Amino acid sequence: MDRLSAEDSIRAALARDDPAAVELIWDRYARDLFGFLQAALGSKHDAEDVLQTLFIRIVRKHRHLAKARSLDAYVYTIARHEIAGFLRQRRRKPAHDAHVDAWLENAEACGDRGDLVEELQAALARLPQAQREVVVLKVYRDKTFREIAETLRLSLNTVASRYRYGMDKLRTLLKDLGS
Amino acid sequence: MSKTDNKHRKTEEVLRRVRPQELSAELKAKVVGTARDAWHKEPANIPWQIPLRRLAASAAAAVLIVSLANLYGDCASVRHPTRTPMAGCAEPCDLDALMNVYTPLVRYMAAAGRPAQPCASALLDHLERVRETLRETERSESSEEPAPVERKSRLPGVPSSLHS
Repeated sequence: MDRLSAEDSIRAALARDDPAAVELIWDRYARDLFGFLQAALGSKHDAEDVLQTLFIRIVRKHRHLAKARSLDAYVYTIARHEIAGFLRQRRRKPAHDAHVDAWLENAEACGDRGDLVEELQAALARLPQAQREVVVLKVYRDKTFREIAETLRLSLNTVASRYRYGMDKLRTLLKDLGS
Repeated sequence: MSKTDNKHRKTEEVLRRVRPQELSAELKAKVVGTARDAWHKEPANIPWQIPLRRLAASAAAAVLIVSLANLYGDCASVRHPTRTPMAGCAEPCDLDALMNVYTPLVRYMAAAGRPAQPCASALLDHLERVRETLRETERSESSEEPAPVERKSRLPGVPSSLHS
Protein backbone atom coordinates (compact mmCIF):
# COMPACT_ATOMS: atom_id res chain seq x y z
CA MET A 1 0.00 0.00 0.00
CA ASP A 2 1.57 3.28 -1.02
CA ARG A 3 1.72 6.32 1.18
CA LEU A 4 -1.28 8.23 -0.19
CA SER A 5 -3.65 5.29 -0.21
CA ALA A 6 -2.59 4.44 3.36
CA GLU A 7 -3.35 8.02 4.37
CA ASP A 8 -6.72 7.85 2.63
CA SER A 9 -7.60 4.64 4.48
CA ILE A 10 -6.65 6.18 7.80
CA ARG A 11 -8.65 9.32 7.08
CA ALA A 12 -11.68 7.26 6.05
CA ALA A 13 -11.51 5.17 9.23
CA LEU A 14 -11.08 8.30 11.36
CA ALA A 15 -14.05 9.91 9.63
CA ARG A 16 -16.17 6.84 10.44
CA ASP A 17 -14.93 6.99 14.03
CA ASP A 18 -13.78 3.44 13.53
CA PRO A 19 -11.28 2.00 16.06
CA ALA A 20 -9.72 0.01 13.22
CA ALA A 21 -7.90 3.24 12.45
CA VAL A 22 -5.50 2.38 15.28
CA GLU A 23 -4.13 -0.61 13.39
CA LEU A 24 -3.94 1.34 10.15
CA ILE A 25 -1.98 4.07 11.92
CA TRP A 26 0.26 1.41 13.42
CA ASP A 27 0.95 -0.17 10.04
CA ARG A 28 1.67 3.19 8.47
CA TYR A 29 3.75 4.86 11.19
CA ALA A 30 4.91 2.51 13.93
CA ARG A 31 8.14 1.29 12.34
CA ASP A 32 9.38 4.74 11.32
CA LEU A 33 8.27 6.24 14.60
CA PHE A 34 10.04 3.52 16.56
CA GLY A 35 13.34 4.23 14.81
CA PHE A 36 12.79 7.96 15.27
CA LEU A 37 12.06 7.53 18.97
CA GLN A 38 15.04 5.23 19.50
CA ALA A 39 17.31 7.75 17.83
CA ALA A 40 15.92 10.62 19.88
CA LEU A 41 15.92 8.80 23.22
CA GLY A 42 18.92 6.51 22.71
CA SER A 43 17.08 3.62 24.32
CA LYS A 44 14.87 0.83 23.03
CA HIS A 45 12.85 0.47 26.22
CA ASP A 46 12.24 4.19 26.53
CA ALA A 47 11.17 4.23 22.88
CA GLU A 48 8.66 1.45 23.57
CA ASP A 49 7.19 3.37 26.49
CA VAL A 50 6.95 6.59 24.54
CA LEU A 51 5.45 4.77 21.52
CA GLN A 52 2.63 3.47 23.71
CA THR A 53 1.99 6.91 25.22
CA LEU A 54 2.13 8.39 21.75
CA PHE A 55 -0.53 6.06 20.40
CA ILE A 56 -2.84 6.84 23.29
CA ARG A 57 -2.28 10.53 22.61
CA ILE A 58 -3.06 10.01 18.92
CA VAL A 59 -6.27 8.17 19.82
CA ARG A 60 -7.35 11.01 22.10
CA LYS A 61 -6.75 13.49 19.31
CA HIS A 62 -8.11 11.36 16.50
CA ARG A 63 -10.74 13.92 15.52
CA HIS A 64 -8.07 16.57 15.11
CA LEU A 65 -5.95 14.05 13.22
CA ALA A 66 -8.82 13.45 10.80
CA LYS A 67 -8.82 17.15 9.92
CA ALA A 68 -5.04 17.56 9.77
CA ARG A 69 -3.64 18.77 6.48
CA SER A 70 -0.72 16.36 6.73
CA LEU A 71 -1.05 13.20 8.78
CA ASP A 72 2.71 12.67 8.82
CA ALA A 73 3.40 16.14 10.16
CA TYR A 74 0.66 15.85 12.79
CA VAL A 75 1.83 12.45 14.02
CA TYR A 76 5.48 13.52 14.16
CA THR A 77 4.58 16.76 15.95
CA ILE A 78 2.87 14.73 18.67
CA ALA A 79 5.90 12.42 18.73
CA ARG A 80 8.28 15.33 19.22
CA HIS A 81 6.16 16.71 22.05
CA GLU A 82 6.17 13.31 23.71
CA ILE A 83 9.94 13.05 23.29
CA ALA A 84 10.46 16.50 24.79
CA GLY A 85 8.22 15.65 27.76
CA PHE A 86 9.96 12.33 28.31
CA LEU A 87 13.43 13.87 28.16
CA ARG A 88 12.34 16.57 30.59
CA GLN A 89 11.19 13.90 33.03
CA ARG A 90 14.35 11.88 32.53
CA ARG A 91 16.57 14.87 33.30
CA ARG A 92 14.87 15.17 36.69
CA LYS A 93 15.97 11.62 37.55
CA PRO A 94 19.72 11.86 38.20
CA ALA A 95 20.22 8.09 38.54
CA HIS A 96 19.09 7.37 34.95
CA ASP A 97 21.79 6.02 32.64
CA ALA A 98 20.65 6.72 29.10
CA HIS A 99 23.31 4.72 27.27
CA VAL A 100 23.05 1.33 28.90
CA ASP A 101 20.14 0.21 26.73
CA ALA A 102 21.16 -0.75 23.17
CA TRP A 103 18.92 0.48 20.37
CA LEU A 104 21.01 -0.52 17.38
CA GLU A 105 21.65 -4.04 16.14
CA ASN A 106 23.73 -5.65 13.41
CA ALA A 107 22.20 -5.44 9.98
CA GLU A 108 23.83 -8.70 8.85
CA ALA A 109 22.27 -11.74 10.46
CA CYS A 110 25.57 -13.61 10.73
CA GLY A 111 27.52 -10.62 11.95
CA ASP A 112 28.96 -10.73 15.41
CA ARG A 113 30.23 -7.19 15.68
CA GLY A 114 29.17 -5.94 19.04
CA ASP A 115 31.98 -3.39 19.05
CA LEU A 116 30.67 -1.77 15.88
CA VAL A 117 27.18 -1.47 17.32
CA GLU A 118 28.51 0.10 20.49
CA GLU A 119 30.79 2.51 18.67
CA LEU A 120 28.13 3.60 16.17
CA GLN A 121 25.64 4.03 18.97
CA ALA A 122 28.13 6.13 20.93
CA ALA A 123 28.91 8.21 17.84
CA LEU A 124 25.23 8.83 17.09
CA ALA A 125 24.66 9.70 20.74
CA ARG A 126 27.22 12.49 20.41
CA LEU A 127 25.22 14.20 17.67
CA PRO A 128 22.71 16.86 18.62
CA GLN A 129 19.21 15.39 18.74
CA ALA A 130 18.01 17.39 15.74
CA GLN A 131 20.85 16.13 13.53
CA ARG A 132 20.48 12.57 14.81
CA GLU A 133 16.77 12.50 13.91
CA VAL A 134 17.46 13.62 10.35
CA VAL A 135 20.35 11.17 9.89
CA VAL A 136 18.29 8.24 11.17
CA LEU A 137 15.27 9.07 8.99
CA LYS A 138 17.51 9.47 5.94
CA VAL A 139 19.85 6.54 6.42
CA TYR A 140 17.67 3.95 8.13
CA ARG A 141 14.23 4.85 6.81
CA ASP A 142 15.30 5.90 3.31
CA LYS A 143 13.31 9.11 3.39
CA THR A 144 14.14 11.94 1.03
CA PHE A 145 15.05 15.40 2.29
CA ARG A 146 11.68 16.66 1.07
CA GLU A 147 9.78 13.97 2.97
CA ILE A 148 11.78 14.68 6.13
CA ALA A 149 11.15 18.40 5.73
CA GLU A 150 7.40 17.85 5.39
CA THR A 151 7.29 15.37 8.24
CA LEU A 152 9.26 17.50 10.70
CA ARG A 153 7.82 20.80 9.43
CA LEU A 154 11.25 22.15 8.58
CA SER A 155 12.61 23.86 5.51
CA LEU A 156 14.45 21.79 2.95
CA ASN A 157 17.66 23.75 3.57
CA THR A 158 17.47 23.15 7.32
CA VAL A 159 17.09 19.41 6.80
CA ALA A 160 19.95 19.29 4.30
CA SER A 161 22.27 21.30 6.53
CA ARG A 162 21.42 19.21 9.60
CA TYR A 163 22.18 16.09 7.63
CA ARG A 164 25.44 17.52 6.29
CA TYR A 165 26.67 18.67 9.70
CA GLY A 166 25.62 15.38 11.26
CA MET A 167 27.42 13.32 8.64
CA ASP A 168 30.55 15.48 8.87
CA LYS A 169 30.66 14.97 12.60
CA LEU A 170 30.01 11.24 12.26
CA ARG A 171 32.76 10.96 9.66
CA THR A 172 35.19 12.54 12.11
CA LEU A 173 34.04 10.23 14.88
CA LEU A 174 34.04 7.10 12.71
CA LYS A 175 37.15 7.62 10.61
CA ASP A 176 38.81 4.62 12.17
CA LEU A 177 35.77 2.42 11.59
CA GLY A 178 35.34 3.32 7.94
CA SER A 179 38.68 1.90 6.84
CA MET B 1 29.14 13.12 -7.67
CA SER B 2 30.88 15.72 -5.53
CA LYS B 3 33.62 14.99 -3.05
CA THR B 4 31.31 15.76 -0.11
CA ASP B 5 28.65 13.33 -1.37
CA ASN B 6 31.29 10.66 -1.72
CA LYS B 7 32.42 11.18 1.85
CA HIS B 8 28.83 11.02 3.05
CA ARG B 9 28.25 7.87 1.03
CA LYS B 10 31.12 6.16 2.81
CA THR B 11 29.80 7.23 6.20
CA GLU B 12 26.34 5.99 5.21
CA GLU B 13 27.82 2.63 4.28
CA VAL B 14 29.36 2.35 7.73
CA LEU B 15 26.09 3.37 9.34
CA ARG B 16 24.13 0.82 7.31
CA ARG B 17 26.13 -2.01 8.86
CA VAL B 18 23.81 -1.57 11.82
CA ARG B 19 20.14 -0.62 12.09
CA PRO B 20 17.65 0.42 14.77
CA GLN B 21 15.95 -2.48 16.49
CA GLU B 22 12.66 -3.55 14.96
CA LEU B 23 9.23 -3.72 16.53
CA SER B 24 8.17 -6.94 18.16
CA ALA B 25 4.76 -8.58 17.74
CA GLU B 26 4.19 -8.33 21.50
CA LEU B 27 4.76 -4.61 21.42
CA LYS B 28 2.25 -4.24 18.60
CA ALA B 29 -0.37 -6.27 20.49
CA LYS B 30 0.23 -4.29 23.66
CA VAL B 31 0.20 -0.82 22.10
CA VAL B 32 -2.72 -1.43 19.73
CA GLY B 33 -4.75 -3.07 22.52
CA THR B 34 -4.12 -0.15 24.89
CA ALA B 35 -4.91 2.38 22.17
CA ARG B 36 -8.15 0.60 21.27
CA ASP B 37 -9.17 0.58 24.93
CA ALA B 38 -8.43 4.28 25.12
CA TRP B 39 -10.53 4.81 21.99
CA HIS B 40 -13.55 3.10 23.55
CA LYS B 41 -13.12 4.76 26.94
CA GLU B 42 -12.54 8.20 25.54
CA PRO B 43 -15.69 10.33 25.87
CA ALA B 44 -16.85 11.91 22.68
CA ASN B 45 -15.00 15.19 22.74
CA ILE B 46 -16.77 16.69 19.79
CA PRO B 47 -14.92 19.93 18.98
CA TRP B 48 -17.99 22.20 19.02
CA GLN B 49 -18.89 20.94 22.48
CA ILE B 50 -15.59 22.02 24.00
CA PRO B 51 -16.22 25.81 24.03
CA LEU B 52 -19.78 25.22 25.25
CA ARG B 53 -18.49 23.12 28.12
CA ARG B 54 -15.92 25.77 28.99
CA LEU B 55 -18.63 28.45 28.92
CA ALA B 56 -20.90 26.40 31.16
CA ALA B 57 -18.06 25.74 33.60
CA SER B 58 -17.16 29.47 33.69
CA ALA B 59 -20.80 30.44 34.29
CA ALA B 60 -21.15 27.88 37.09
CA ALA B 61 -17.94 29.16 38.71
CA ALA B 62 -19.17 32.77 38.47
CA VAL B 63 -22.54 31.90 40.04
CA LEU B 64 -20.78 30.03 42.83
CA ILE B 65 -18.43 32.94 43.58
CA VAL B 66 -21.25 35.50 43.64
CA SER B 67 -23.40 33.26 45.87
CA LEU B 68 -20.54 32.76 48.30
CA ALA B 69 -19.88 36.52 48.38
CA ASN B 70 -23.57 37.20 49.12
CA LEU B 71 -23.61 34.55 51.82
CA TYR B 72 -20.49 36.00 53.42
CA GLY B 73 -22.00 39.48 53.29
CA ASP B 74 -25.22 38.26 54.96
CA CYS B 75 -23.28 36.52 57.71
CA ALA B 76 -21.18 39.61 58.36
CA SER B 77 -24.26 41.88 58.59
CA VAL B 78 -25.93 39.47 61.04
CA ARG B 79 -22.85 39.47 63.28
CA HIS B 80 -22.52 43.29 63.31
CA PRO B 81 -26.06 44.74 63.18
CA THR B 82 -26.41 48.50 62.70
CA ARG B 83 -27.97 50.30 65.69
CA THR B 84 -29.44 53.19 63.77
CA PRO B 85 -31.24 52.92 60.51
CA MET B 86 -29.09 53.98 57.61
CA ALA B 87 -31.90 55.93 55.93
CA GLY B 88 -35.50 56.61 56.82
CA CYS B 89 -36.97 57.39 53.53
CA ALA B 90 -35.91 58.42 50.13
CA GLU B 91 -37.36 61.57 48.60
CA PRO B 92 -37.02 62.68 45.05
CA CYS B 93 -34.18 65.09 44.64
CA ASP B 94 -35.19 68.66 43.78
CA LEU B 95 -32.12 70.61 42.78
CA ASP B 96 -33.73 74.08 43.02
CA ALA B 97 -35.04 73.42 46.51
CA LEU B 98 -31.63 72.25 47.58
CA MET B 99 -30.02 75.39 46.14
CA ASN B 100 -32.43 77.62 48.10
CA VAL B 101 -31.66 75.85 51.34
CA TYR B 102 -27.90 75.90 50.90
CA THR B 103 -27.38 79.22 49.12
CA PRO B 104 -25.99 81.12 52.16
CA LEU B 105 -23.65 78.30 52.96
CA VAL B 106 -22.48 78.09 49.38
CA ARG B 107 -21.82 81.84 49.28
CA TYR B 108 -19.87 81.70 52.51
CA MET B 109 -17.82 78.77 51.27
CA ALA B 110 -17.13 80.56 48.01
CA ALA B 111 -16.01 83.72 49.82
CA ALA B 112 -13.79 81.76 52.20
CA GLY B 113 -12.26 79.75 49.45
CA ARG B 114 -11.54 82.70 47.19
CA PRO B 115 -7.97 84.05 47.45
CA ALA B 116 -7.75 87.61 48.86
CA GLN B 117 -7.33 90.32 46.23
CA PRO B 118 -4.28 92.53 46.87
CA CYS B 119 -5.27 96.20 47.35
CA ALA B 120 -2.57 98.87 46.69
CA SER B 121 -3.81 101.50 49.17
CA ALA B 122 -4.17 98.96 51.97
CA LEU B 123 -0.66 97.72 51.28
CA LEU B 124 0.75 101.26 51.40
CA ASP B 125 -1.01 101.96 54.68
CA HIS B 126 0.33 98.76 56.13
CA LEU B 127 3.86 99.65 54.96
CA GLU B 128 3.62 103.10 56.46
CA ARG B 129 2.54 101.65 59.79
CA VAL B 130 5.49 99.27 59.79
CA ARG B 131 7.91 102.13 59.02
CA GLU B 132 6.43 104.20 61.84
CA THR B 133 6.88 101.37 64.27
CA LEU B 134 10.49 100.90 63.21
CA ARG B 135 11.27 104.60 63.62
CA GLU B 136 9.81 104.63 67.10
CA THR B 137 11.85 101.61 68.04
CA GLU B 138 15.06 103.23 66.76
CA ARG B 139 14.35 106.41 68.69
CA SER B 140 13.74 104.57 71.91
CA GLU B 141 16.94 102.52 71.48
CA SER B 142 19.09 105.59 70.77
CA SER B 143 17.80 107.36 73.92
CA GLU B 144 18.57 104.35 76.13
CA GLU B 145 22.10 103.52 74.82
CA PRO B 146 24.97 105.41 76.63
CA ALA B 147 27.30 106.12 73.75
CA PRO B 148 27.77 104.78 70.29
CA VAL B 149 30.58 102.29 70.20
CA GLU B 150 32.57 101.82 67.06
CA ARG B 151 31.96 98.39 65.80
CA LYS B 152 34.89 96.40 64.67
CA SER B 153 34.78 93.61 62.17
CA ARG B 154 35.72 90.23 63.48
CA LEU B 155 37.16 89.31 60.14
CA PRO B 156 40.97 89.35 59.80
CA GLY B 157 42.38 92.61 58.50
CA VAL B 158 42.88 93.12 54.84
CA PRO B 159 46.59 93.54 53.93
CA SER B 160 47.43 97.05 52.86
CA SER B 161 49.00 95.87 49.66
CA LEU B 162 45.64 94.86 48.39
CA HIS B 163 44.27 98.40 48.73
CA SER B 164 46.78 99.81 46.28
